[in-house]
Amino acid sequence: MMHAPFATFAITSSALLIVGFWALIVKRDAIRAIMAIEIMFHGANLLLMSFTLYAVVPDVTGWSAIIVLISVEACVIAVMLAMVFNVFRRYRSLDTALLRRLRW
Amino acid sequence: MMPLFQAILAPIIGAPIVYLLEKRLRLKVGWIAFAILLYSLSMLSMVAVRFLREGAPIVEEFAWAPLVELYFGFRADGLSLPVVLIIAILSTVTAIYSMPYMEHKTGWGVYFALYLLYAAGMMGTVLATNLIEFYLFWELMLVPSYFLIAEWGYGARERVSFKYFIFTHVGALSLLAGILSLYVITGTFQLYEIPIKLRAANISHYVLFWIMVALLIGMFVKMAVWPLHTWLPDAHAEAPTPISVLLSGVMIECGVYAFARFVPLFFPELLLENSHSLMILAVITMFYGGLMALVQTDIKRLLAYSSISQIGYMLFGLSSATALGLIGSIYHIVSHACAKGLLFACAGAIMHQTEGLRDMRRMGGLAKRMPCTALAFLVGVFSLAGMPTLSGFISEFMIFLGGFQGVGYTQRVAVVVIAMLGAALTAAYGLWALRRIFFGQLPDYLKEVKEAPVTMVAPIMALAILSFIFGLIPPLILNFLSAWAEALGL
Amino acid sequence: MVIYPELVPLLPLLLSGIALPLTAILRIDEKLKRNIACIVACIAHAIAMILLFLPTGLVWVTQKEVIVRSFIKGSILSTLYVDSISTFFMLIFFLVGLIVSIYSWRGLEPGIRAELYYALICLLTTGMTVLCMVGDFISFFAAWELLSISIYALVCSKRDDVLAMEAAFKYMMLSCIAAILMIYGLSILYGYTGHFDFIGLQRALSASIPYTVHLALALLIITFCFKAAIVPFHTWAPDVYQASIDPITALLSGATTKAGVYGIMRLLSISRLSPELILSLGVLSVATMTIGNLSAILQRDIKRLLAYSSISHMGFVIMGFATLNPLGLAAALFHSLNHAIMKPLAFLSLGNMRLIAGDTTEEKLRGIGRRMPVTTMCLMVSLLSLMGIPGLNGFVSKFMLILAAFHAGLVWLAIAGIVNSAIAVAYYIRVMQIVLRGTSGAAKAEVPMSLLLPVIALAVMCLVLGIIPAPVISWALSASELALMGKP
Repeated sequence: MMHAPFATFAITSSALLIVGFWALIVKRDAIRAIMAIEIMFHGANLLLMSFTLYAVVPDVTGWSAIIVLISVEACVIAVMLAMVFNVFRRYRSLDTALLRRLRW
Repeated sequence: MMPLFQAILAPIIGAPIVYLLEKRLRLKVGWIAFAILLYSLSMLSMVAVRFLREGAPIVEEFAWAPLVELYFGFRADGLSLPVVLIIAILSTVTAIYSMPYMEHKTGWGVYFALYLLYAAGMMGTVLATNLIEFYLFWELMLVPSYFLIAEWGYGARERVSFKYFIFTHVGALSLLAGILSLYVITGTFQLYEIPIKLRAANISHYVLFWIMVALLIGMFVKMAVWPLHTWLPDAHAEAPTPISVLLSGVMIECGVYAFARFVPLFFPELLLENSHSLMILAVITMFYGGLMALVQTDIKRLLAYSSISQIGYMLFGLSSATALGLIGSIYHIVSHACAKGLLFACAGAIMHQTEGLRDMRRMGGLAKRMPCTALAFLVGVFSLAGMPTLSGFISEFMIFLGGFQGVGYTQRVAVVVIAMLGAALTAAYGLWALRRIFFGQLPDYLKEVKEAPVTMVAPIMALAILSFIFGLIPPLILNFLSAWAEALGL
Repeated sequence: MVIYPELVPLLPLLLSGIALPLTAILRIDEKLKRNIACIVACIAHAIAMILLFLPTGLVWVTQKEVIVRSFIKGSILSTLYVDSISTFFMLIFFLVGLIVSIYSWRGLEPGIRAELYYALICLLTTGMTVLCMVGDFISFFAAWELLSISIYALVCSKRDDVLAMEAAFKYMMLSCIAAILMIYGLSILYGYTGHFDFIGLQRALSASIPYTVHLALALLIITFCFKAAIVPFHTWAPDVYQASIDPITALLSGATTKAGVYGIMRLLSISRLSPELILSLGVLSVATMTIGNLSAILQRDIKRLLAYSSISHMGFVIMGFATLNPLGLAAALFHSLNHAIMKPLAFLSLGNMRLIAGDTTEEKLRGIGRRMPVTTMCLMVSLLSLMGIPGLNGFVSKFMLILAAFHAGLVWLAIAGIVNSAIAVAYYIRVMQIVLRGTSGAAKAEVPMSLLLPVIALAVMCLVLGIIPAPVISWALSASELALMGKP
């Protein structure tokens, strides 16, 4: 099987990270914030995957690590969705601009 | 048997006991505090007698946290014994004095507990054998006194105690910086190992000078030398009077003790070199304190400024770098403790009997109503002014003789002039205060004033008698101090 | 199936964490459920701590690696790696967890579901313990996320508190970003060395390493600094500490920040960090101490002031790491332990005062000292210890830190430490004055014994550690020498 060169993977993962970070900062919707974090997470995972793929000595540790990481993040996302649900219940809206009561 | 350890431990253990006994004994817990301090005093006296008989310093050592080189010890030698004895004596009599003073206030248990911790802190500072233990007790003096001023003081006591704490703590941190630098150079904290290692380490003059400056800043803040004195007038004036007695009488003298202990030991050459600059600082302090005292109308503030001036005397003796000067300064610690303690106690007695009157312009003719207090005040003023047969004379004589020896021929005239002016100034504000308070016309609102109760007069009289004793029998103290001066090689 | 003895301290905690939410379906009295949940949590923590100190316990282990094998022949499930550093931090976590559980017996408000609350505390402690015990970074990450999730849930345990929800949400976002940075760093590490486990990484990183791997290590340190509230990653701390209920704030400041410190310590023991990285740790520590202290001076709310003070103390701990000598690392460990005792003491005393006074702002707390003498005395012990007054534990560890900085030749760092100690005194004294001054006029009121007992116990610990620090110091020294073995 032909894979793309390593550089492509690296650039794509960095791009995902940057896009996710930008989305987190700019977007005002809580669900979009979670999606942005998901994008960033997948970017990091992609990097790990590319290192595993292009490893000089093939090793199964990398793949198992990726699976563990995905399952851990799934739990975290579940908790985050529960938190967003909590916010929604209180404010009746998903606008993160409403969460401005805590200041300096 | 470890008498020194017991002497320090007794007040520390006694503090929570006194706090707990307040419920049953009410104000009488003061007697428990007195008993504990009397026990410490007897332990220390035993050690003093032993020292005079054997002639060798008595040291007790323990290991606290050897891995980080923290040891613990108490050293009673010619320098520390007179100072610690006068601290113990003053604390003991002031414990009795505190009781009538605190009649109308609350929180006696906490007061006497903090008082005992304060006394323990001062005694521990003087007896410490290594720099970290010294620093520990130095800070330990600070916390109870802060609480004592903040809780039972007068006037703007929050601001005053805050300023006192910040000044002294920052000074202590400067002291810590100096201590740690010495450690990095010599590798030890033990007082008597440092000079050996310091000489072996061959450090540049410049570095040594700045270490000395760091240590001196810490000591000068505590001693209230000009220009680091601004905390003292407020703190001593607004503290509760028994605490003013201790603050002015012995606590600021702990700074003088630190100077006398550390500087000749670690930096003898630097002391000789900078002797003149330190003398100038001392003279400024002397006259600043004296002149400011002259214009005060509040009796406690006057006494506070007088303390600054007396510290100037002590610094003058220390900076002369001669045996007589150093001995004179330590002797002055003892005589100032008796005299200033006496004066503050009289001020407190007056305040107690006249329902809080402190303004001297409204006083007058109290000698008829409070004869014992007047007599004691007279003794205190004369002792500070340096009248023969009182201890102040001996100490001031030695200080100025030491200053005389320490300067070149041409400057000796200046020393004589300073000595005369200083004595005149001290006599001036002292006698003027005496006249304003005790002589003259007795105003109507003071016609009913009675003499202070026995528990107040007895300590005052005791201190007055001590001033006489130390004035008439100097060898009592000089035996210790000359042993110390010999050990220093002066 | 083999029972691994190293995992045994975990079992009571893990089982409580799983079992307690299940009790929610039992149809018994609310109060009874609440009390049972609390007792179960307390016993779990106590058993875990006792198991540590038994003769067969982990405290006596200097270094141990255990490979956990699955029932499929030969394959490795995970590795455990326990050494003195791990057990030191485990002690901290169990201690704080136990104290907070005991305090929550009465300190919980009605809006909180007790079984879930205690379950979360048990899971939090489980997560932190697993963090200390695991031997590879993937399991480390799993434990890290476990403890983060528990924190998110505990912060907003008061269901109808808007501030708490906001704080939890913001903390969640920031914590996820930090975790993702950690994965990024781990990927680069794996790409270079091919290992996730600590032993393999230690071997691979012992030779000189390229710049990219230093970058990866820096990313890991950023994640740990986030959890430890180091500037500039500290922004979550004041909000989260202020918005949580008092027992949770005590838990956060006492335990979870130390999880970040453990991460940095583990990293130091695995690899040789570059001089630039160590220098930047030193700079961060000075920045943290200074910004923490200066911000604390400006605060009107006492709880927020203590939060900033926590931040500045974490700066002190990092100062120990920047010195790279055994004394400095031991001082950092010891200061973590001391802070874990002093700060929960302060927050829990403040919680008691909140119960009587209603709030923790300056106006409400003025003069409360007269009404609550015991609690106030404990708060005084905590503040004096935080200030670094000799005789209490804070002084010993601060002294060791500054001494270590002098030893390492980092005089600027030591001076910064001394200056910051001086600045910090200002606001600690202010708190003392606020509490002791004035007459609130109201009668003496004191909180019930179950709320006083943990506070008094912590105060006694402060005093004892201040007078007899030697055993703990020698433990910390042996741990740090182990960490620095074989490194220049």
